[in-house]
Amino acid sequence: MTTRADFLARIRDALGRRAEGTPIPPPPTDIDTARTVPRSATDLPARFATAAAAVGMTVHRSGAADLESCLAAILRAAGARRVALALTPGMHRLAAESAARAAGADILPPPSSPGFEPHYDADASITDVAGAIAETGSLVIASGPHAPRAAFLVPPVHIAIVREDQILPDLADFFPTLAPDTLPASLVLITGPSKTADIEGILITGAHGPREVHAVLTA
Amino acid sequence: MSSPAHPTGPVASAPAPGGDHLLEPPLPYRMAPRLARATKDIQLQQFVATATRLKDTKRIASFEATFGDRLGAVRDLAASIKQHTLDHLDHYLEQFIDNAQRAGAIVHYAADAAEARNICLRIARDTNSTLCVKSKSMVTEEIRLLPALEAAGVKTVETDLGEFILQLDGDAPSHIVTPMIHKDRTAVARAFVRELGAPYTEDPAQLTGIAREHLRGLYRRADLGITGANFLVASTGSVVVCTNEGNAGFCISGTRTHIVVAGIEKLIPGPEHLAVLLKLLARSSTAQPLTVYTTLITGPRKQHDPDGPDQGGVHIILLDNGRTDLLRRGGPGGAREILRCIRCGACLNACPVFRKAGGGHAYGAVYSGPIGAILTPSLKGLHNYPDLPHASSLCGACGDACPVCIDIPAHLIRLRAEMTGLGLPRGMRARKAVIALWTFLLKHPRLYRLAAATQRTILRALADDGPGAPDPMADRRWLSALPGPAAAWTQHRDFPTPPAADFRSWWTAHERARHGGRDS
Repeated sequence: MTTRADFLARIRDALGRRAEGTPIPPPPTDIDTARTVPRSATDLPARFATAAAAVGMTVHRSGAADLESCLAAILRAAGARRVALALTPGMHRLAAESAARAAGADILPPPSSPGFEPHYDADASITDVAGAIAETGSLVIASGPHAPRAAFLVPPVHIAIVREDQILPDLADFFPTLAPDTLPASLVLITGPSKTADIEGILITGAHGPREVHAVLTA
Repeated sequence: MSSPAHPTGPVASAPAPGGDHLLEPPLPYRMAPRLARATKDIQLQQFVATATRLKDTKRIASFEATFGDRLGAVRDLAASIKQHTLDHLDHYLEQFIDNAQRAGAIVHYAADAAEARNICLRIARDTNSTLCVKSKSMVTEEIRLLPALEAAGVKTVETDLGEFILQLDGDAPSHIVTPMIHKDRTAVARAFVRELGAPYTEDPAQLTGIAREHLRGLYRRADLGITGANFLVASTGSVVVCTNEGNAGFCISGTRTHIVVAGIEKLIPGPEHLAVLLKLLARSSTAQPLTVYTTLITGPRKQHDPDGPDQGGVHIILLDNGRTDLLRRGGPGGAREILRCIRCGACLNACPVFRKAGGGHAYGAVYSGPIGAILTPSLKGLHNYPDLPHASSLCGACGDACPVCIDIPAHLIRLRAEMTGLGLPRGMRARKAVIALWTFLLKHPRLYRLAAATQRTILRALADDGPGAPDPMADRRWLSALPGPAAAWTQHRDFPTPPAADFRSWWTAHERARHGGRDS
């Protein structure tokens, strides 16, 4: 069996290094070279909406007071009978619960590890997000006690509530903030509905995950 | 395995891969038979040409729209990030291992393919896993993991739609990103009727729906998930997996146990570098700003997480399998820089030879196209793949397409030079004899003229009568069939004979006429 020490010794030998702990120069840090949205951009909700629509998401704008009716309308349009919720307790969760009731849908219990049951039975899910990226139209979803991974993946319709102040300009504003001590077990950037083009290059949505992703922008 | 026995007891034998497999042919592998079939298969040519040309065009347009004239600087930055990591790979691997372990992942070390297979089999056995769902991963193809799991009694299902269909058909991927470019919808329809008992339909949306439902049935029962990795982040111990379909999410989070198999070249220093590399990866592959699901996995589920793999359920297998041999050759133009590759597939889509070869199968290995032509011989030995460094016209399209600036044409030339040093390939002796004869003739002008006149006379006599031309220099004829080894040329195109007059006679006559004119 190859041990860690054997494995690393071979690599060290291949690199022509004598010992571990040899000081090394810092890695490249000028990641702003790849930036496409300026840090100072002020129209982030509009930029996010454009980018999200371009990758196939449906974007809704909602005031705090209309959130419940906006969510209920999406649930009704999707014909959702069973809804999975993945939201931290707070105003958004209350709005989502009321919306589910208003749409006549049952709220499913959270999944029990291992596996995603009972989310396979869900018609839709409502989640909040840990952030969003204006550049790419991405939703950032972190796993946590109130955020099962099944919620954004398994139901055919995913509705994400995004506060406008959660939108960051560029991937270059997001990734440098990640630190080992605060990273969740699963952090996912969702950029559109589940897609495949494996059959003759024809784009089909809803390959394994949601067919529809709705981003609801709210204050 | 690199050592004969494992302390925890005997491991179910990992069978050697089938020798006749498309990606693992008998060695040395020669391209000619598959090329001959591919170049005659008009339908295959069309499938591959359509798939690759479209992606190539969209990639260029997407980069132009996103970065404009800054693209060069962004590629240079991406290249420097990967190169820096490779140059200090021991350091970053140590860091990655420490951080991944701190997050609760179990890290394993595989010197070669057999050891990696055995580690997977041991984990499957220790967790009593019987059904494995697997996301598309070239490195698991490289170690031929699937047949080993199946032989050990672990039913293993490819969940990427393209790979799923290939598995049903007993076929192999023909492209590292879009594995099914050599098949069309009717092949999918037939496979689904035959293997899944589905009703016949050629509608891609319905076919996708059939696969979705079938695979959901399997996800619900699966106890083991296997994925590759697009990146390993040293400073956080995270594994980054990119997919569009979302299938990897089921393999990562929907089962008790998740195994990641990753080559050591996947390391990057920190999460900030993802901001650069991810911007290039999806655009280079499919002209998307990001893949639909970009997943960072940092250990198993935390204490109060409702789902995700158990404590002790995330395994990361770090694979060498020949990579340190490339690492050894650093410096400008050395093989180390080949390990920068992020497997975007842009060089495959850009390559006219890949297109004409009917896709990846002609390369006889997991990694195909221009990158495969330099990576495969480097990992598996030039003597085993003597044709691959020659499977290029050196047009340079691959190097232009590479988002991490791997000078693929330069590596092709380097490998050709190394082959000459090794006296490879076997055809080299004949080639050397021809060049020696040519050199001799060029040094002896009279003999050269005699030889030229002889071949002109013979070739023109063999050719069908041409239409003729008023200018003897334009009067060419065409041979539709040449004898002997030269027949390979006329298999696909005619061979032109020399013109009716040779250049020297024409030049002499021309000069005489010019000077004659001046004299009068």
